[in-house]
Amino acid sequence: MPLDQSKFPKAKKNILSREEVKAIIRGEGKTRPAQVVTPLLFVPEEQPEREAFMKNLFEEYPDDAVFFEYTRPANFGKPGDRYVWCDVEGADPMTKLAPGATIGIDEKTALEWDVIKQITRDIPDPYYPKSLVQNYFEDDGRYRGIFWTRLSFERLWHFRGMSETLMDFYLNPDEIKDLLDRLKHILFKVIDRASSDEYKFDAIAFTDDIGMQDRPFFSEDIFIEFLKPHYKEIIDYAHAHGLDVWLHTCGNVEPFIPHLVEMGLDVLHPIQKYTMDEKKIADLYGDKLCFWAGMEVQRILPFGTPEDVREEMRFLMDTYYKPGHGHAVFASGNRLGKDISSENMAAFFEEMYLYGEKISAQGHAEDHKSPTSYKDIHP
Amino acid sequence: MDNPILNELVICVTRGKVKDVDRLCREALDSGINAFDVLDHGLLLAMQGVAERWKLGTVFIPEVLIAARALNAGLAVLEPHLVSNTMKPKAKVIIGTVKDDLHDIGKNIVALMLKSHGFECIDLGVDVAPEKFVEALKNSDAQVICMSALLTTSMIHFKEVIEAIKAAGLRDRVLICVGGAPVTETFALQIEADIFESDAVTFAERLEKRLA
Repeated sequence: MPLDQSKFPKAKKNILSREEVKAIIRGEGKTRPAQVVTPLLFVPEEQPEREAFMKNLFEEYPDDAVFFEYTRPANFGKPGDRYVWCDVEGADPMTKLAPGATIGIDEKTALEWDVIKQITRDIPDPYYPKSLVQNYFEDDGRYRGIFWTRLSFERLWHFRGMSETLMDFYLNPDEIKDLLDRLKHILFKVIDRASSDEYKFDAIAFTDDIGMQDRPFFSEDIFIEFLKPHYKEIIDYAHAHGLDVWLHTCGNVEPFIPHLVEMGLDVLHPIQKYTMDEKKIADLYGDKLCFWAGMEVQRILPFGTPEDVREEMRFLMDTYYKPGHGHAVFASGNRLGKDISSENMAAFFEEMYLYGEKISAQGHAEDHKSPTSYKDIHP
Repeated sequence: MDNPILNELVICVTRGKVKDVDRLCREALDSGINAFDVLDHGLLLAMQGVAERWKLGTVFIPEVLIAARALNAGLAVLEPHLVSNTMKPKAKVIIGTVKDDLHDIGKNIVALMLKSHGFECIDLGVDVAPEKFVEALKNSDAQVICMSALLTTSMIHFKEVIEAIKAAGLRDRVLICVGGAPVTETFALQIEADIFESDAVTFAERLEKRLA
């Protein structure tokens, strides 16, 4: 399907085609950098008070690549259910809460191993939902993919709880490996369906936060023993089915990046500011994978000025984008929250386009500094 | 204190071997070693080693958690023998994730670390309103309040909790500690919190020293 610009009547930019985005990912991009914010990074329902403003902004600056969020299986169901993560009767911790007690995301779905072992091995079945993705629309010529959150570690701790999972690497290693094996076969089916004639997606994106603010959650040894083989099988399977693999992983993941490069990961998000030295990461790996550079959302976007946001965008593009080659697409580093002012939102999208156009037209990046190099941005 | 049982105990705590820690604590007591020495030269020495390696960046959360878990197993054996008039009970800590925030992972890890340092934790859970923190403070003799937030949109509630504690006339009674991914030292100072720390391991150590 060739790209038809008239389908974007309010757009203030020419949208990039599937082939142009693919070229950027391969390091052969001749265009401006792509905008890829996705439905995961902006959720309109969270900000009803400025629905019209944001709708208009996205119509003026549409994404150059489209990701569809997957149809989420329920966490808990009953025996016989095919599209749930757990079909064991009465397993839901929420049903056992004392009146008035609150429960957080760490404990909401956490189960004991003896319950996990009772879960039907091949659920959730990705062929069960009518549509594998939400809010599907037909191919419009843009690059398209499915966004499947929780690849490995995130899925493990949704089963076991975070603290228990982290200890399981030492205390229950065989159970962890078995659970990852079960997940692998489910993900293979997701890839089968996403790449079939039904969707013909170009990519599959995953989330798997394995970094914290100051260091990874776990050692490189644990990554190599448990997650790397799992990631590799998924990436290989996706590639064999013609899909690029995009990965969102927050926090400091520096020790893991060489492994991701070695496995052939195509696109990495967000290289979280303040957790790693972005210049160093760009220098070391900029010609080996495509960065999906995400602007910082804990300080700059919510608490900076619109000019701070514009400066940071110029800094990010100078750091990551190679005019004439590409190897970077741009977004926010995480959810665009409701505490980001509308002025900052507009500055973010406008500058992503304007400065991207500028450096691709002139054929070279510049040397803008991050506003954080001379000021401390705080609430 | 160079003793083969205690030396092995240090290794087993560090490696998170709960059954061995239980056994070695009993063996140490049976061999006539004072319970306080088993604690200081076994369990706590091991945990100090883990904390040192944490600071060096050579261990991560899993290694800290399994050691803390093993230490707790050892404490359960020693506790009946640690009765002493001179021993001061550790402080009570009220901990919770503030209003509009359901993220409890960091908060739970902090609570685990505090427990492994002997603090008693009153965990209020997630989405905790300011008045709940104040109520828990009124109903206990807690000396510390720990608040967690993952979101930039929820960390503003730290200030409301601090104001509510002031309004209740309890500010002088408690140390107020804040943490969470977006929280910074500058922000903590601005809202007049007493302690900000970016990680659970360092925080537990700092709090212990502060209250010593």
